Amino acid sequence: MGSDDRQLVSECQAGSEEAYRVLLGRYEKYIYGLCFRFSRDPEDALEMSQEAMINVVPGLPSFHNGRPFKPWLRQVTVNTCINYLRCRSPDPLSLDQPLEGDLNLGQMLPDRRQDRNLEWMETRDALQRIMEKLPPAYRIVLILRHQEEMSYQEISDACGWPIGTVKTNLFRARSLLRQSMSELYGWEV
Amino acid sequence: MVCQPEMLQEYLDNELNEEDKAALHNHLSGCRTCRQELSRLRLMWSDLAWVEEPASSFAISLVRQQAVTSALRKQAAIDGEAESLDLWECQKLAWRPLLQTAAQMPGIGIIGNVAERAWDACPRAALQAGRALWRLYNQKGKGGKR
Repeated sequence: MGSDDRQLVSECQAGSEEAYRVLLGRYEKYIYGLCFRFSRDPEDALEMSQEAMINVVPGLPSFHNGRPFKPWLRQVTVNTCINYLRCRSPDPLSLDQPLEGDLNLGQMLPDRRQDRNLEWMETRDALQRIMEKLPPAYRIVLILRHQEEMSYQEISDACGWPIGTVKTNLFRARSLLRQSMSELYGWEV
Repeated sequence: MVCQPEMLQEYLDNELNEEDKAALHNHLSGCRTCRQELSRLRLMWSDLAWVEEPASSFAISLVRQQAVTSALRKQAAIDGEAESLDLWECQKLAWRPLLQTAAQMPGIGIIGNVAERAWDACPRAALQAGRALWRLYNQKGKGGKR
């Protein structure tokens, strides 16, 4: 944590409203970006960001100021996003249920007849498009592992899932992505 | 060791212990299919690590201002309740010795009885006075109309 963060956290803990504004202003883009990656919808991302920031305020007084601030903020944001998705997700693949059986890959892939430009897209863009269509439980573990670089244990703690569920979700999500991307990468299936 | 696709993923995630890692290295040296699969997964890993930056939203600053204001107000309300509770508890503690001393005074029980009777009598007297005033008012009103 930068010394500036530590100073600001101290001021927040002393009750300075301005310090809260400055501290959260410093991380607002990060919070919004993370929420957007979870939700894939700008309005939902704003709502999730607001909830995350609201959750920071009562939690910060008990935050130990010797620890880095950003991982703690990420934890608060991730918890908020998971709760938000848990409440909103109409997906039968609930976050609380173990994932069973094979998913229909055809539902995950963008329709090529409607989206002829897909093959010309950068592979990473295509990967993002396919990730959008994954069930939330898969998307969450992929984001936390690959983009937030969290370990299995950290993901397990953040999501409240057993570590075995985290591994299973990661494996299945990547297997789906791998199948979906084979053609774009030029791999033989 | 047979081919284990899960193990390749755990290897790339750096989640294998040293023993499993050594076993996998040993397997990879003799398995072309797994080496090819590993190189494919590495390519996918690098694409997965790419963080897409959403278009900047001006609304996020406004959202931050609102979030801080509403959360601090809510917090202040909770703290205010806690403080008022503490003040009440302090008052009770401060008055307790005086009340305990007063309770030992001779004839103190009579005060309670007197207060109880006065309490019973007061509403009755107030009710009677109210009825009398209402009667007076009605009589005057009727008299005026006449």
